[in-house]
Amino acid sequence: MSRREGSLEDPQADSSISPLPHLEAKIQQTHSLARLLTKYAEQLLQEYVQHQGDPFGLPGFSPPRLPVADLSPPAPGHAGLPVPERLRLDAAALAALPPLLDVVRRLQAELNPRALRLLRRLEDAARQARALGAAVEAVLAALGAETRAPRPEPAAAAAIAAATATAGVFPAKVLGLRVCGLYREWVSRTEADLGQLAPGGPA
Amino acid sequence: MALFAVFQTTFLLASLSLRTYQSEVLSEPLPFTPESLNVSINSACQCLHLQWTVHNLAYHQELEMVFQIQISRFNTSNVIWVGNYSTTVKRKQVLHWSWESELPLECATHFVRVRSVVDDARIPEPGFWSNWSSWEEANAQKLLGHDPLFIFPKDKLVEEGSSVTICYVSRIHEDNISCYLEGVQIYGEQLDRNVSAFELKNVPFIRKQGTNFFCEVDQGDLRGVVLFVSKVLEEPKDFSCETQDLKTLTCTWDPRSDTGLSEQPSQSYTLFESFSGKKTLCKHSNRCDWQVAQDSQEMYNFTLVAENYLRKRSVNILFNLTHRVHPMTPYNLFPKNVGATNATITWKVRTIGNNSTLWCQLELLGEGKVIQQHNVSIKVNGEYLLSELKPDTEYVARVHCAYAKRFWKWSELISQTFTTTEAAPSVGPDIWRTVRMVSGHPTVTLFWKPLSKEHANGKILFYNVIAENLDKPSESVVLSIPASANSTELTLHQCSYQIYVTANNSVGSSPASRIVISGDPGNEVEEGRVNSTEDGFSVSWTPQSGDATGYVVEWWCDGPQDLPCVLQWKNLGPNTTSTVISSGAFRPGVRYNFRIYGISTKGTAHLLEEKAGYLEEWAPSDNPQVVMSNLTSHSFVLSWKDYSTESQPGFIQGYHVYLKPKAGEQCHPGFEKTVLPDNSVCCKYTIDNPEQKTFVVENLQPESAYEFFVTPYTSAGHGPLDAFTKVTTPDEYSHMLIRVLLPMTFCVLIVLIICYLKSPWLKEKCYPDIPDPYKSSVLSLIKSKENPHLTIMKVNDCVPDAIEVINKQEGSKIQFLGTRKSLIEPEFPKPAYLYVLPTEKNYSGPGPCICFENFTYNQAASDFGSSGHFPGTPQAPPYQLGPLTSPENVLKALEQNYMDSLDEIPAREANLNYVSQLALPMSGDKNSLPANPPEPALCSEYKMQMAIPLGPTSPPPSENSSLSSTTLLDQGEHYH
Repeated sequence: MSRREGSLEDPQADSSISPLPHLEAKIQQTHSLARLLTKYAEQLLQEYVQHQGDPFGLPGFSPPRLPVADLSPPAPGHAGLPVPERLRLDAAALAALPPLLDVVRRLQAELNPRALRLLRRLEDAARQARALGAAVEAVLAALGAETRAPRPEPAAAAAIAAATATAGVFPAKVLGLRVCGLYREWVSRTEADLGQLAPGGPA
Repeated sequence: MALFAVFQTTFLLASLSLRTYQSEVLSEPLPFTPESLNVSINSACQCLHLQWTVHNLAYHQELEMVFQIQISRFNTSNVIWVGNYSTTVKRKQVLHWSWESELPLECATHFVRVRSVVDDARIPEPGFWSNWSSWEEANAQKLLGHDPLFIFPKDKLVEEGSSVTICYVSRIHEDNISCYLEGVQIYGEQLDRNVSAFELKNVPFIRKQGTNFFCEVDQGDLRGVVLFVSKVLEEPKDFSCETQDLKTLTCTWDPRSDTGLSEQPSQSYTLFESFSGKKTLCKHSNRCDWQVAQDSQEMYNFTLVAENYLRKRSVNILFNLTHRVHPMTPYNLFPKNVGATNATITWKVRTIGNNSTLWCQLELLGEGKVIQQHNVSIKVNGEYLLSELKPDTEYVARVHCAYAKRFWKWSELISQTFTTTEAAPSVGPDIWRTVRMVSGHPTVTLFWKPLSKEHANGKILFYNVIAENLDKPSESVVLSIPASANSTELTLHQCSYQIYVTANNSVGSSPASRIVISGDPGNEVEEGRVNSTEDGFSVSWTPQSGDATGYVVEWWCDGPQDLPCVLQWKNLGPNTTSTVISSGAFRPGVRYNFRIYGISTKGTAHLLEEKAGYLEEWAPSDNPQVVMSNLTSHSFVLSWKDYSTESQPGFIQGYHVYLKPKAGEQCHPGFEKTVLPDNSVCCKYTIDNPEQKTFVVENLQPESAYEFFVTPYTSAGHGPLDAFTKVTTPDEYSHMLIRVLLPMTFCVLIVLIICYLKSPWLKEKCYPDIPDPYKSSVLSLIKSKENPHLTIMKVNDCVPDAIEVINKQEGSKIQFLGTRKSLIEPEFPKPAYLYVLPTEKNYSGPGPCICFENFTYNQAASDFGSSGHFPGTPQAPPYQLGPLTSPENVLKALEQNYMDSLDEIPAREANLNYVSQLALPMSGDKNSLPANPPEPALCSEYKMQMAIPLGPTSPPPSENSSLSSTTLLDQGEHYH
């Protein structure tokens, strides 16, 4: 991952050059990454709907925000939770997203084999979600909080993929829209939650 | 065999008759009733697949039978389709038949039954339908889950333009379901209580990702399908096969539309050759290679099959291999031995088969056009000599070849550019001249036109000009002019010259062009006019009497300075008397002058005619500068003599004189009333002579304002309407007044001059100079006739006898220095005289008698005395002013003068001021004369009152010399 995308592969590498303390630097970096990925997630969603045809690109089209493989959008009461708890939920969601994004990429590879940019964005999104989740867990560990993030089960994603393939192309399109939407929401939520800890943000 | 057939037929008839009889009489099932009917659903193709058997067929028995199939939907009574299926039935054969439903089978339960009839020619009697089989049900809804909504068909692939029926099966109320096609809500037909169908006709291709159809349940749950609409597979176009080497065939075609979708790959192409029975799957969508068989197969029958999931298309081609030879592009094309007019072209080709011959075509292109074409048969190496080329010309040689045995196609072209070498110019330059006299010598400007590329045969480097004096052959001029010039100037003698001009390039010189300059001055002719046509100017002339060898028409433009204009000429034959001069450089509104010369046999040119013309006449672009003169009360003169009619954009035909008379006045005779573009009315006079450049405006009213304006006109119109010039006629009597005033002024002037010249005399008469007593004639008269002791009175000798005292009103003050305010009070005080010496009245003794010749005296003293103050300036020394700044000082001065006189101070050493009784107390104040003027003294015309010394020579008065005068003068009283 390039530094432009906010790589956190070696978070300690930057601590030596950062004037901030280690924890603040870690939070700052993770927050920056989340902010960057929020922008990427928005671009991914726009790119995705462009390749599905109407009504996916229409403003009024909003499929029900149903859970996908037990992954729900951030709950309305999420903001009221303690910050560590919120970060744990964020980390869990970010860990659950990569296999779902992979499923969407495979479905789109069949449906839109020539949409190379969309496929690359989906692939990048899976990797970036994984990186952000790891970074959030690192922040939690630095905060001394227990991560308790459930590991994603590849079998669940595979089952989803199989079920969707059987259901047809339209459900696959809807699934991709939901996954991309969940990705955007959770990355954005993570950015907001990290903003609570970042220097300058509300305590 | 025939016996067996007859026997079999007989048996069949017997059997059928028996079965029919049994069925009618015994009410038993007819034979051959379809049995074991089984119906299955194939959702992929929305097909009902039927299979059944026909029992009671004898061993090895085959019958042509017709099966009638009935299909009902939702219930058995709702028959939606009935059809027949004919086939040959064998014993124990399981029959298969499929039916495709337009409505997805998942949306409705279908029922099927079948019956049969023998339709065999071997049985002449008409058959009877068997009984219907029992209804078989095909119900796909049983397999559906418990979702609230199901939509079918799932991801169906159809062709563009076809009709598709989409249906849904709902578990909820129909009213809560809204369905959309590509985001646009559509409404279907309710087929059953929980089934609705949407028939989409003529579906369009929208995108490769399919057309989205979805239904929303209570604006919450969402179900949908994608309809993949494929473009219709088209037949390949321009299918063709050819070979370059008789080893490999290459077939090409135009694939036309790509029918690939997400659910369907692009159409595939398969090449099948029927003679060999071989086929190959093409790797490309527009080309396929085929290896030619080694067994010398000449004929090939290819079938190209295009195929996708929905359709197949094929095209066929049959050909002889040797008729489809398309040779490869020749190579190594080179020119060699390139000369001025020829070149050899060589090239190579690749062999085709064994010892085959190629037919090559060599084309020579000049300036992009094919100018030569040659066919050459070659094996491997080609060579051709190109001739009749032009020197110094760039050519393109190109070659392509075809199979000589049977022409099919030319190979691709190979080309090479080459340039022939230079040659000497083939013709001399076209020359012409103008002759003008400069300082008495004919100056010839020699012009020539650059040689065309066709004649130059190379790059012209210079021109040689040789001027031979025909009268003095030894005097010849040789010039070498650079190629960039197209003219030169020669100053010649008043002789005839023969001038030769040659153009030279690197190879040689051209033939010489000759022109003869005559020593005689040219004749002059009158200028005519030439008309223009669409093609240019049509110039015609009267042929020269005698033997003209040709004519030359020269022209140039006489237009604006910014217009490039060079001398042009055109050579014409001896029998020509007219020509059309056309040029893209001709412009409308520009005057062109043409001269026609006749060329004699000696080569000299004689001016025949001179003409001028316009390609198109324009209206004048400007108006003349009009000068008004001779303005009288009834007329004025307009003139525009500086206006040049030659340099106008058209032939000036005359002028319009516009005159705006005063209000209410009619147009003068000769004028016509006209309306200007600004809707103002004025009078117009038309001068139809372009050379008349003056005009007298007459019959005007005195003291009236007029406005005039002059504009020229051509056949295209008049000049621009500029502002009018205003003029006001003078008064009718003003000239009479001038007749009176002028003499009077003259007379006054004469008088003034005389007065000036006679001013001394006048001065003498009117204002004589003040006489000098010492120069008076009286003095000599006295000296000679009377007492020789008598002399001019010296002031010092005078004894003041009285002091004039002037009473001044109260409040009056004396102001002296630093101001020039008058000290004269409005009411002058009455003077009083204090006699300090005995007057005549009280003087008993004899005394000197003082006489003055007139009243004048020292002006400075007069001013001083009369004004009552010193005319001193602030710069005057105090000691000069100080003694007189008070009455006391005055009295002291008087006393001092008196004492000085007693001491007989020489008069010439003293400066005296005389205050006369008759002198005005103040200058100009005639009304304030003293009320009691002193009586004149005896023996004198004027009576001296006092003398006041001035100047530094007067000693300051001592305090003791004041006498009593100080007591006689009151404060506030003034003295004179």
